[in-house]
Parts: sequence; structure tokens; C-alpha cells
Amino acid sequence: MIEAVNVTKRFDDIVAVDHINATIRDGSVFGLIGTNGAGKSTFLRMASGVLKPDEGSVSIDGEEVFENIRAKARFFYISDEQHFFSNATPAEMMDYYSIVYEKFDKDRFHKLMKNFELNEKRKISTFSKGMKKQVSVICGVCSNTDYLFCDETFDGLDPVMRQTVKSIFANDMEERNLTPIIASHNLRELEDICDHVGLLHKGGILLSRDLDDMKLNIHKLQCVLKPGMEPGSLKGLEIVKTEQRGSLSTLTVRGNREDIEKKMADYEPVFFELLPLSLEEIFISETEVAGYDIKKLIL
Amino acid sequence: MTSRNLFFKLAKEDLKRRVWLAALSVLTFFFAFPVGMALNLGNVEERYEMALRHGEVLVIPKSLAMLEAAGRLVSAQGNGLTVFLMIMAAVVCGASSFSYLHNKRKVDFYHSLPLKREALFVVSYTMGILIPGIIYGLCLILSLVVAAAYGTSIGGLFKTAVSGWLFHMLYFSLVYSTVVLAMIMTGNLVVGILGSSVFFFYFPMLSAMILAYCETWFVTYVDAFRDSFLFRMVKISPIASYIIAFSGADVGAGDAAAFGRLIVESVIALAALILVNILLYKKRPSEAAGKAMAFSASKPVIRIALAMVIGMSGGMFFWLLHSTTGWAVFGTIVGILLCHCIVEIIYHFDFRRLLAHKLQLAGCMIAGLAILFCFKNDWLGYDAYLPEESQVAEAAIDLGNDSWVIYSQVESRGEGVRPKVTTNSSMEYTFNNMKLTDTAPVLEIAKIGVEKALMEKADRESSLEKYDEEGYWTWLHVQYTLKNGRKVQRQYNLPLTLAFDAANTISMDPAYQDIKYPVFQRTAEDTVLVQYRVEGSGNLLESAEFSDQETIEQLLSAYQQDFREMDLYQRQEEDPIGELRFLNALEVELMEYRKNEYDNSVIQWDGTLNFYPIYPCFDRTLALLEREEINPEKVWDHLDVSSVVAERGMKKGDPGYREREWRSYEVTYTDQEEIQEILNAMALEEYHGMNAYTTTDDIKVTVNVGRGNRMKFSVSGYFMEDKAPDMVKEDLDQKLQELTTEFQDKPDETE
Repeated sequence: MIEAVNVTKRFDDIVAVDHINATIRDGSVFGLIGTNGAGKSTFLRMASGVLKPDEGSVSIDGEEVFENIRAKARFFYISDEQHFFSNATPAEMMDYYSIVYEKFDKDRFHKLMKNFELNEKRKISTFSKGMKKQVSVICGVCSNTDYLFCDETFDGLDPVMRQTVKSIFANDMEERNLTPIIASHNLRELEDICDHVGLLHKGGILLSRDLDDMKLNIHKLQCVLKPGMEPGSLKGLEIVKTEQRGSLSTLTVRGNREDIEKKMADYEPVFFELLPLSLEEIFISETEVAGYDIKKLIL
Repeated sequence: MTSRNLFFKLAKEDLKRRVWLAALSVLTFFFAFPVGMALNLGNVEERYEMALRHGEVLVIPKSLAMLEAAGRLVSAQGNGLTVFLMIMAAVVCGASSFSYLHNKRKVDFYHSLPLKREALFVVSYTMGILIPGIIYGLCLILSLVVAAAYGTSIGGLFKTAVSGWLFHMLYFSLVYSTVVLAMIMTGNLVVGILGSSVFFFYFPMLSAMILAYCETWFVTYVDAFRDSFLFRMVKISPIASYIIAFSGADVGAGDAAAFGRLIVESVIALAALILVNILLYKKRPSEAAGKAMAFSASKPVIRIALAMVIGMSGGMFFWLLHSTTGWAVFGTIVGILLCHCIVEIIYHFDFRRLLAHKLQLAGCMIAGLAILFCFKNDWLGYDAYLPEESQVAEAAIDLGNDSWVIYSQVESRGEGVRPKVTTNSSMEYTFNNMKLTDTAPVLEIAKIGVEKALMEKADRESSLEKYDEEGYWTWLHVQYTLKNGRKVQRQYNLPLTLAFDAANTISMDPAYQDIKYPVFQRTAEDTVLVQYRVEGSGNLLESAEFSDQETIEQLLSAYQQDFREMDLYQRQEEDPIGELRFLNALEVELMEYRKNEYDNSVIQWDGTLNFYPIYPCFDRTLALLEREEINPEKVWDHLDVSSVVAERGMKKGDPGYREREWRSYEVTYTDQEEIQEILNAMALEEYHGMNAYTTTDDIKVTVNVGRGNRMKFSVSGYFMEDKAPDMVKEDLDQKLQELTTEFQDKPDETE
């Protein structure tokens, strides 16, 4: 289990990560989502021992990560721009990683390279961005560590590769209890893989919950209310967001499905329907609540 | 995995990534050593072949000449190219070993691996030394193979090459570690290189500036540089330290212990640097990659330190251009401002931040001006310093006379290799060796020196007038060793006549004589040859050599007694008439080498090793020479003097006198009696120059030896004051009278 307690990191006057507390359980996929500059990469760099927290600590099963090779041997960190030695081939990177990671599985490396149709003897510098990502994922998976830290790793992978990587992750989770920690701002790519998400915003953690809990606790409600009624008059519903198009109101409402349906039935609307929210919609809602002007970014 | 296994595996991986460095090293060292050896030895062979072809006889056997050439190439102190290559290699290796610290992607990669930072440091650091070190070593071995192929015996050369390798690798490591330190302290390669330059040149520059300020504004400042705090400051720079060790500049004559001390100092400095590097590497935040400086705390320190030196340089630059206080102040302020702005721009990579930290900038300006005025107005009373007699434990003084004394030391560098000559300046030798316990006469002279110095400072214009004072004007150098162990050095410019008794007391003190004239330290046991000569205008008028031990012993003893007994008052009366030189076996060997190098038999009279003057009052010495049928006073008897020309320079008011042109009139004598009278009265020009205490008449004499087509050479001489024969004075006066008459008749022509 990875545990971040009160972790803070400042770069000169900027507070990149501000007193974050998070717990990452083993065997699940932890999605670290957040806006640009939210502190996802900084958090991962602290979790991987690259950066030393100014305050607080990051530990793996109680062992502090920074400058602790025993703790560091338990994860593989794929940064957003993974470094490969200049003029190195995947085979040469494999050689290096196999020195550093004692359990590195060379056979699996060769097999995966073949499956991904990547030439082990070709210089990595001649690979496309997506191919480099594939090489780094293969190196990470083959290092056989307990945790895999992925910073924007799926960015640049085509949909087929994305699904392939996800299936490798699923397979390793099943077989050897791998725990991938994936940081991304692309919510759609995490939606179908994450079990738990930590939502970072302006250096602080906005929420950290199981994805299922999150999805079950917030809903999109489309309804046509009785003439003379406004969404504001729906007392008892925790409305996060309201959109009105003619008589059709689209509301984002917190609460479980049964409670919302029961309360809506009491108001006898002309029509109402509860829809599940996508992870992206949940993210936007939560960040808007926190005062984040999403429209400015979108526009 | 054991840490040793891990080290070798990581080292192998590191080598794979730095194949380019290995290739570059192979290329460079291959041409510098094996190819260089072949070229050098080829040149020696060619020289000997040429000599053979032209029938020249070279004293040193070819095999020894080749051995010396080969030894020079591979030795510690014989090949300047190695120093240059090592410095370049250290910069390239240092930058390449730790440049990954400047790249965020690389830092993320390395620092996320399950490796201790110490392990990463050790691998990168060690490989940066091993790659060039091993290749340099292999190329040295290869060069010895080349030397062997040329027929040179490489038995002794191997030891020379090993010590050369150790020497150069020590200083390579020192320079390399400094570059590594700069790389660790910065977050950008270019800033890292600039940082290395700061470490290389800051202290020499600071030292040069302090020296320039002292020399410009302190009248009594003495540049005893090699022994000073400023010189020690220069040695903080690894490059300066390397060059000093290479050139042996720090090592006094024959002082192997000083060289050993320098090496030990360098080893300690290297160990300290490595330790600092490891500590800083561990403390270095990974997020420093891409920034200018890795440690915020170092920013103001470096900026202020640089600004102060640049400010001092600016002040000095404008003072040299236009020696006014206003310009010096302007230069100081502009220097500090420019430096501050440039450093701030580099720190922030942002032009708009050039005036950040205004308070510190103002502080630097105030401090810079304070330093300027501290030196310029001598706020600390440097020039007025004169210790109490009770404070001084011992003193050393160089009276500034007898500049002909050479303080050289000849050391053996092994069989078949030319002995090494180290020469010290008179002041340096005096300060290092003289210990006068009778300090009263020294302080008496110094007191007058201080008065003169303060007068000069009060009105620098008066310095022209002061030379009108009568007396033997001299720059004398004094060193006081205070009872607290501190050494204080000063120089004074004064006419020695103001303290002639004190100067005489000092010159008769055996503690002074023994150091001032190294001939007093010479013993008969180590003297194998005595050379006698009389030289005039570069022509050898008479010479002799004595190599039997009894004569040597007698001559040395007689000369030392005669010389010790002669005081300054005696020296006011007479000029030398000949010279003697006492040589030991090494010095004789050196002479042989020089004869070979210059292909000139006269070279044995060269100026590296000292001849000492024979004065007419040296009765014991002259008696011994007489026994050997040598009489320097009768040197002209053996020469065919055909004529003597007496010449006098025109003075203001003389006919034909010109302000900016030296003009003279002369009388020529061919009558042998007249010639003999003149020769008896005159002193040879060189010998008159050896004695600062006699004054000269205004008549110059030229002695022509040989006749017609067989005219051999001319020798110049002077008459001491009032020693010119009346005949010559009268003839010259008459000549002037004739010129006056001529001038009155034809003024235009003579104009």
C-alpha cells in the first residue's frame, strides 16, 4: 500500500502539491486525474523518489520512498517523457533495466516486443512517440515491480494499443497483483480501467474515491417540470449544475439513484430520466464546484 | 547483487554511452604520445645525421639525446602539451559525466531507479577519470614501445612515464572534480561551463586585482609574489595550481620538499573536493534540472563575489585610462552594476530581472568604493608601517646593489639527463634565506625609506625632483620577521648615502654576506673547477681554469677571505679587474650540455652560473693567481692594442650640442706610451657596472685590439671619477676648443 501523508512540494513561490493525503491500495488501478498544473506529475515524482517532499512523506508499506532503494525496487516509473539513452535500442535499455531491476523478465520483454511488432535492434530515437510509449510500458511491465507509475502514458497510444496495454495491466493485476498508478488529464482513457480515482486540483486533492462510488453518487437528471415550476423549486435535491433548454432541464444532482427518483416522483414532473455521468462530466462538475472555470479552458 | 558487481555492470553501461569520449581520447592521446614520440625521436636522429654530415662533434652521445627527448615527452614536467590536453579532457569529461543533472527527463529516469545516489555518483565520477586515464596510460606505454623501436633504452623511461602519468592524472582529477562541482551546483550545461570558468579563474583574477591595487597605490609594496598570500590564493584555482606544479614555479631552487608539499596539498584538495561533490550531489534537489543554479543559497554568494572583483577590475581599468578618482569610481560602479545585471539575467533566464536584489547591488557598490578608497588613500597606513625594534625577531634586506649575483641552483635529473637549473630573484632568495638578528641598521635604513615614501605619496610630482639628490639611489627590499611569526615585506627607494654607515654595517655582517653572495656557502670539497676570466664588451681577454684540488682549495679560501673583508668604503675606491667562478661537478656537467646544445665553445662563459669580481685589493687572491702566472692588472700586455679612443659627450652650451641627440667629440691615441697610461687608469665597462659605489668620469674609452685587416675587436671602458689621465682631459678640452672655434666660423654647418 502506498500512503501519502500531508505531502507538500513547493517550487520557489509556487505550491505544486499542497498537503495531500492519499492511500493507494494494492491490486487496484489508481487514477490520478486533474487539470494541467494540478500537481499530478509532481505527486508521481515524489512517489517515485525523484523529488523530496518539502513536508509530509510518501511511503510504501510503511517504508519512506526517498533515497530508499528497497522501496524504489518495488515500482517502475514511466515519466511523461521517458528517457532513453541516446542511440540506444530497446534491447540495450532492457540490458540496463535488467541490471537495476533484479526480477526483470527478459523473455517476456522479447515476447511483448514481438507482439507489439517493435524491432529490438532499432534505435529508439527513430521510433514514433507512440512506439516509445510502448517500449517504456513493456520495460515497466517486464521489470516485475509491484507498482507501475504511469504519467500520461496513454497519451499518444492509438486506441488499439491503449486497449492492449490495458489488457496487459489487467492480466498482471490478476496474475501478480500489479498496482498501476496512472496520472492523466484524459478522463475517457481512465474511465474503463480505474478502480479508484484521486482528483487533484490546484495542488490539493479534491476527492479520492472508488470510481463506482463516485458514479453512483452523482447523476444527470433530464426532466420537464410541471408548468410554473423551476429547477430551483426542487427542494431536497442537491443540484450541482443546471442547464435549461426550452422546457427541458438537465441537472447534475448528488445522491443515490433511489433517493433522487423518489424525490422527483413527489414533484410529479411531466417527464424525468436519470442518466449515469461520464468520468469527464463528474470531473468537470467537481472542479466547477471548487471554483475552477472549465469554460475558460474549453473556449 | 554485490555492490562491486553492480559497480562494474553500471560502469560497463556507462562506457557504452560514452564510447564517443573513449574514441576522442584515443585519437587525441595517440597523436600526442606515440606519434609525438616518433616525431621527436626522428628530429633528434635527423639532427645527429646533419651534424655527422657537416663534421660537427656533439658532446652528448646520440643515445643520451634520444633518451632525454623521450623522457621529456612522457615526464611530469617536460611536456606542456600534456597539460593542455589534460585540462581540455577534464572539462569535457566533467561536463559529460554529470550533464544529465541538467535534464529533467534524465534526472527523472536516474533518480527513480532503485540505486543509491552515491552509487550513481561513484559510477559517473569514476568513469569520467578512468576513460581518459586508461587511454592516456596505454598511449604512454605505446610511446615507450615507439621509443624502444628507435633504439632508446626504456628501462629508466618507464619510471619517468609512471610518475608522469600519476602527476598529470592527479591534476586532471583536480580540474575534473572542479568541473563536476560546477555541474552539480548548476542546472544548465552552459551555466555549468560558466561556473567552471569562475572556479578556474576567479581567484587568479582576484589575486591579480589585489596585486594591481597594491602596486598602483602603495609605494612600499613589494612583489614577493611567490611567497605571498596572493600567490597562495592563485593556487586555489586548479588550473593555476596545475600550471604552477608543472612549471615548478612554486618550487624554490632545488627544493624537492616544496614540490612534494605541493603534491600533498593537491591530493588533500582533491579529497576535499570529492567529499564536497558527494555531499552536494546528495543534497542537490532533482528539480534543479533546467534552472541556472541548483542551490539558492549559493546565488548571492557567487554574484557578490563576482561583482566585487569585476568592480575592482573596472576601477583599475579606468584608472589606467585616466588616472583620476572620478574615473576610478565610475569604473568600480559600472563594473559592479554590469556584473550584477548579467548574473541576475543568467540566474533567472529573464532580462527583466536584471535589477533584482537592489539592496545587495547597493551594498556591493558601497563595498567596492570602500575597497577602492582603502587602497587609494591608504586608510590602513600600509606605507607608513615601521615596526618597533622590539617587535622584530629577525630581518632580511636586499640593498639592491650587486645585481650581477645569480642565485641559481643546479639539480640532477638522473644520469644522461641534463641537470635542471632553477634561478631565484635576488629579493626572493634574500627573503627566503637571510636571517639578520642585528636589526637596528635595517630599521635605520627603513625609517629613511618610509620618510621618502610618504614624501612621494604626498606629492607624486616631487618624485622627479628627489632623484636630483646625491647618492646611490637604490630600490631596497626589506622583510621583517616579527616575534609573532608574521612576515612583513616592504620596498624603499632612497639614496643609500643617507644611511651609508648602516648599509656598510649590514654588508659586513656575515649573516648578510653568506646569503647575498652564495660563493661564501661554497666549500672546497664540492668545488671541482675554478674558472678565471677577464672579459670586455663580450670579448674574452684572458682566461684560465684550475682543476687540481689544492689550487681550488687555496683560491676559494683566499677569495672568500678577501671578499669578506672588503667594505663599502673600499668599494667606493676601486672597480673589479677580473672574475672567478667556482663550479661543482653538476655545474660542470651542465656546462657540457650547454656547449652541446648551442654548438658554441664560448658558451662555457654563459651567464647561468655566477662569476665573482676580483678587486685590486684582493691581495691573497691576486697573489695566488700571480703564482699561476696570471695578473689581471696586466691583461693588456698580451694584446696588440692598436689605438685607444677617448670620447666625451657634449654638454649644454658646447658647440653643436643638441637637446634630443647625444653628440660627442673624441681624441684617438696610437702612441703606445699614451695607450699604456690610459689602459692603466681605465676600468672595463662591465666591471665598472658590477660596482654600484664608484662614480664615473664623463669620458668613455674604446680600446681597439688588432691592426688593419687583422683588427680583432673593440673593448669599452670608463675612468672612475678623477682617475682620467690629465693628458686625456687636456686633449679633449683642446678638441672642444677647436670645435668651438670651428662653430664660430661656420655656425650653420655645425648646427
